[in-house]
Amino acid sequence: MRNAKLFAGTSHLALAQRVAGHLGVELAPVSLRRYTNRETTVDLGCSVREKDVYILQSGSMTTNDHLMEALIMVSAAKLASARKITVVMPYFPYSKQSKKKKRRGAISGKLVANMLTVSGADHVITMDLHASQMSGFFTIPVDNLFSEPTIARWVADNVIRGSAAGVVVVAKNAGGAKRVTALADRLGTQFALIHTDNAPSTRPFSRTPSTVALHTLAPTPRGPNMFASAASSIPVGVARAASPLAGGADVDLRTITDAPSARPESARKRRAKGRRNDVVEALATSMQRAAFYVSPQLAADEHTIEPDVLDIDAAAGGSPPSGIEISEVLNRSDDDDDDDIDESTLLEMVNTPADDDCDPHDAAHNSEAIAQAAAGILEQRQSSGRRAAVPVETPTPGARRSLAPTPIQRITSGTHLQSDPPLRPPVAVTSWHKKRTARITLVGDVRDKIVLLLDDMIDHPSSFLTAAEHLMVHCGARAVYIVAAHGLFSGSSLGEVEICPYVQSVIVTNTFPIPAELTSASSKLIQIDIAPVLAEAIRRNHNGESISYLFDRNPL
Amino acid sequence: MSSNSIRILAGNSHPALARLIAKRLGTDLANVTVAKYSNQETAVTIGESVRDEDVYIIQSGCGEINDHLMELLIMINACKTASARRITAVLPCFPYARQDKKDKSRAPISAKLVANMLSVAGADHVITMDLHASQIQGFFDCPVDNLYGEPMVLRYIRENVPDWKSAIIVSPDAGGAKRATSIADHLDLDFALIHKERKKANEVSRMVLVGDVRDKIAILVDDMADTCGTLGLAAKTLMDNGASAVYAIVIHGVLSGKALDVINNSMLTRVVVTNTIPHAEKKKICPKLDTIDVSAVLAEAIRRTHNGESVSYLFGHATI
Repeated sequence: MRNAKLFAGTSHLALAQRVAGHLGVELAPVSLRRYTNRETTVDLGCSVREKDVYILQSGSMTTNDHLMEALIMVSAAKLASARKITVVMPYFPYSKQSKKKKRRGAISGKLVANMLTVSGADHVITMDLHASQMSGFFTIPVDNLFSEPTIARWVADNVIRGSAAGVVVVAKNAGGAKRVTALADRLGTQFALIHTDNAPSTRPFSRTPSTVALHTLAPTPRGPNMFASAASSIPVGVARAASPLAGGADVDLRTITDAPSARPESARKRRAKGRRNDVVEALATSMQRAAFYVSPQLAADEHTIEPDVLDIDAAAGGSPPSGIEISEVLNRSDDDDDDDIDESTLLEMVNTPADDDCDPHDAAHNSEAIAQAAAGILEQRQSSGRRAAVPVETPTPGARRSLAPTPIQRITSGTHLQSDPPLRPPVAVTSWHKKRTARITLVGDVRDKIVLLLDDMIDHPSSFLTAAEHLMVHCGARAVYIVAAHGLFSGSSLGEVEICPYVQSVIVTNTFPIPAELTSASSKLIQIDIAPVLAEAIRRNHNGESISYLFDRNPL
Repeated sequence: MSSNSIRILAGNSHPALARLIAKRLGTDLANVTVAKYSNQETAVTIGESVRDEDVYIIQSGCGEINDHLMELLIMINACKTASARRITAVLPCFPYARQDKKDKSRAPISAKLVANMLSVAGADHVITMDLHASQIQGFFDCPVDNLYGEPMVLRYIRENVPDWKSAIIVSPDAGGAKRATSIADHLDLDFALIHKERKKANEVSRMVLVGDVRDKIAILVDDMADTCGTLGLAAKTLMDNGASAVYAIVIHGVLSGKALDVINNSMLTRVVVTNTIPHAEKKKICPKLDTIDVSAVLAEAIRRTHNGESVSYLFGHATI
């Protein structure tokens, strides 16, 4: 590509390298660093004057940091007199927040669009926006690419071909019906729809489900195989999905309450130091995304903020192999403080007041966070070789204070936390139980057929697994494949898919970065490479050719 | 000295609805003349002072849609330059709402353009109803209150559909499945889906019904009915599949083109629309049409906005 530079942010380097490979270019050199006060700084390593700049940055588990990084890169390119700046976001962050929920919701997707525009982006390339109307949030052109042709071809080649049974595409909620009919039309198959009837009468909760879980499950036996025993002792379905939450909460409750209340903070730190090496190692190597979130508060406690930049090259002990200085080494210097993410996470979650205003349809997604956190911890303890890290919301200094003894006491003494002031944007946890009691109906027929359970993204899989169970147990499906464009899989999501007997495979594209440790440990995860589509879109964009060819067909 | 009182202005699109709203608010429509010059330019005269007033301009997207949009923009601008304190555009049916995404290559997002035009003209707030996609709220930089006709639809079904407890809610296309399931949930009814298979070369598009409607009253639910081709075909599909009767309930009844013929000749028992769009004349031709009055919810939303009260109550409750 003449007169073009492709830069990559730190969110999804593997994808960026694949895209660059397809385009036959090298990633342009860029240095992305952090000041010790955790501000991001960008240094474009080559001239972009009068060049077309492409910046590839996907959403990730550290969305805010990577979004900020993208904005700063755009701004840097703008100030460096780039001719045109195109932001390539395979997974658009905040795309689920594309409309006002019934009451007073923010349209954060629009905010991100505004931020990109204001920072100087001239064009956006993204993929499978949660709502295609989002392209109207921008005043600049947006190319919303589709993974459907790629997924459809993979399914045709690998599922439909060589299988005698018919295939049905199934939506797990009514909102996905259109997506499902589109894929069914393309594959020439039947489709069906699962409808979950959320009886509004089951809410609101007087206390947060997380608190309930902490109480009811505190005395359960603990041990390396606790997860397995908990899972087997409870009927499959409802309780199985709930058990990781309960177990994780239990573990943490013990850890927390063991700490002397006189000096809980320091005691907790000491305790944490013991595990610290393991955890730090695990996080640093496998989960750099978690490392992004290492407690700013602790950082501030333990050393003063220095104005000078941490030099990554020095930290890495040499320059990285490729032409760019990116992420493996980026956060190493910050890892010192990364000791007790698991505890703090759960506490912050627990401290969150239940949000009764929450839209029942979307509350499920929100409730996932706590389950992820708890289950993530559990998996971390349970697995011998591999450790899964816990996704941690960026703790604000205010939220950090939730580690103080008072909330801990309140949890153990059984008071619910409704009266606590919201310390940070609420992670709504209302719907965990409610969702379980909902009535599931299948509209359509899947008997003796292979089911493709389709949605645009999959994060925590509980709703997929519930649907898969329903399809297999009550509706006579032959096999269930989960299919989604974006696979987020936070926390222990992949582990839950792995142990679910009703799911054959889960098929996603690689728009969203999943740590290699998790992908290699999962036998059910299939990632389809989407880089050719992105590369072709970039190439066509750069050459002024039509993109619409890609909407129906596969490149290559 | 009365300061910051409410002023209701109406364009030419739907004076009947505007009068109903004003009546419910216990006020009169402000004196506005909207006419055309002989060269077809729109001319607006605001006949009374709106200085420091809270102005609500009611204009629906229907009929001569571009003329009506232009009227609205000019009225907003006239009020802006006349020092109105706040200008709220009340659009019971948002024009160009269906052009909300690039569904085809090079398709314009005209809804976004309309949003920009309203903002540029000087609207501070927008009240509308059952947007085709709620993401349109994100097209604006000013607050948008998207009201829902659903509570009124639920009430209509409970009060006017005989034996509604054995009915089934049907969505005539996949995109409306969410709306249909929501209504089915509230009434505790079953739900079904009709999908029109994508047209292939030399093949007539086929309708596939997913769900069982045998011996039930099928209630088709959608946000908008234009030419009613889909509704007519859907009704036929439902009757072929053994439905005992077919109702259609639609929020925005555009009913353009051959819609009335299609309805009259279809197997639809009744087509129910709200009065976000005027259809008094059409009712004379088509006896199957029935109306749900939504002026109450619009009036209440205006009242609550004016008084700084929460509007979200209206999302789940029908007003009287």
